[in-house]
Amino acid sequence: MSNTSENPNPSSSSAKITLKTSDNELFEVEEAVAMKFCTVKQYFEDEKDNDVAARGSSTVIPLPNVHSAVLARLISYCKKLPQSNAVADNHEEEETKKKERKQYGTPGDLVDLISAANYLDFKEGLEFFNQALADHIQNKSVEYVRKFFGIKGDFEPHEEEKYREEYAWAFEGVDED
Amino acid sequence: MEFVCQEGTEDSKKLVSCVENSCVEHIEPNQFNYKLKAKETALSNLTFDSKPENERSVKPKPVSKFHSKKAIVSSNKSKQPLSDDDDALPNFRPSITDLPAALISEILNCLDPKELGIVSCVSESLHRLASEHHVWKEFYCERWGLPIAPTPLDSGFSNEKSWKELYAEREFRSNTMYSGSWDMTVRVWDRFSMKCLTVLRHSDWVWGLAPHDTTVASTSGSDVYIWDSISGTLITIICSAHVGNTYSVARSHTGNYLFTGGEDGAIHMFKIARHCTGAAVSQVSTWIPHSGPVHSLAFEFPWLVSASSDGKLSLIDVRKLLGTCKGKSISRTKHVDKNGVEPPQRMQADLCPKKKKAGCLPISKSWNEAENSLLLVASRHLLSGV
Repeated sequence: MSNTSENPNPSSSSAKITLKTSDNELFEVEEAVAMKFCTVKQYFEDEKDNDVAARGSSTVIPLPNVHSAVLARLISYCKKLPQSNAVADNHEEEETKKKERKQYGTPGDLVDLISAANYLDFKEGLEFFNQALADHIQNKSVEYVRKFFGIKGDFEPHEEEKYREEYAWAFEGVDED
Repeated sequence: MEFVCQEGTEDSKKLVSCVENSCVEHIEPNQFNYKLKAKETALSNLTFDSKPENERSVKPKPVSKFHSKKAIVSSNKSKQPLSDDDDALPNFRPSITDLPAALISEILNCLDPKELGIVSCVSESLHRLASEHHVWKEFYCERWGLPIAPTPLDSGFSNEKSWKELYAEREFRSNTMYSGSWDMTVRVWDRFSMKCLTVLRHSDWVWGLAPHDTTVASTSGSDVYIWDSISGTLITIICSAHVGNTYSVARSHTGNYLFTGGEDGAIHMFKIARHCTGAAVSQVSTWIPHSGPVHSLAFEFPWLVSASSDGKLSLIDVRKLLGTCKGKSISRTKHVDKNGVEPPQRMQADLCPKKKKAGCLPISKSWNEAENSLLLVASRHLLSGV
């Protein structure tokens, strides 16, 4: 299953936090990773203040808005974070970052990731996935974007014509569909 | 439920080359009804390659509806081979439009103006978000700087223009190119179609031109013309601006001032006051810094730089004149070349001090600015087509 590969490195000795997703999967993650999610962090700190459990280990933090598959990917992204979040200072690096962003799949996946990252208040991730989504529609036609996001054009015909005329300058040199 | 994705494994560049491949329909649980042009569906997985290749020219019937259970492989064409943690995706696949507006706005923030323009044409909700987006202001300022004249945005006019509109207008304008020639015409070109839109006829060879906004100033023989480049009508003409040919012309950012350089070695400055049908022209100042024809002029506030075949550049600070010019007030500055032969790359520094009003600056005081200004001039030369 999806999360087995995501379970934290067993050799690691740092404290673990258990997260429970919307489909009742349990994820045991390193504290450092979990603390990247501000929502979790907040919850965790509140718990600690209340002194419910001696130390986070037995606390299960429920994340009712996040599906296990999505959380698994977010965690895996988190673990790669240090190098992937470095500021790109040359073209080559920008290219590798772009490739990295491409791995995150379809618009549906990305939308899931974005809304989860938003819910978890995971800033770096949010930025990253936003950019990844933006990458996908770079230099694409209106038809492509509609298809890509599964959006139906809901303009009146004359409206659409008007807008297309207005933005005619943007249509120059877009990729073939 | 599992639907391990065996769809396209290529990145988008490779996909372009696959466009010729045939359509392959692929059953996939998907709640969207796709209304797709078949052409767009022509992306397929290489694993289905046993299908014969179709020519690109074969464009099947434009619109067909695929309902509920049918989706097209290409709609997932950017799907990468996913890592093994990925086989249990939630069945509910949200669309970008299901996200809160603030989040969509964040995503749009990552786009370029062109992409934002395209997204604006995608659907009603995206149009609203994209066309009102604050990044248009950033785009505008990044490209052209803050508008110099007070914009409608600042001055609370009732029919405010959004930054998007300002951007689009300016973008549109930058697609116009001008050429002037010894065939006595200035031609206005459209960069998209590469077609000549308008021919502006003169009575002599055209030596120089300077576009601004929707007008273009041109010099022909000794005369200076100002045209409306959209309608192709003549706004005003300055006859015999110079003795001999008027070789060069430059304009201020606002378009209110025009500088001409002539065969007579003189540089004139004119104020142009536009009104609805034409323009009132008044001469503001004249300098004669050169002993040879002035072939090139460039203006970047507050510096006017001229180049002449006498081998010199001159640098004129017009700040004082811009503030307080009222009609005709000609002052003259004569160049006195004490050093005799100067290397051509040196700038002329020795200007008659008693005519301070003309604002010619000794170079020694402002070398740095002058250098900057010349760099700007150089870049302007390179860009002068637009």
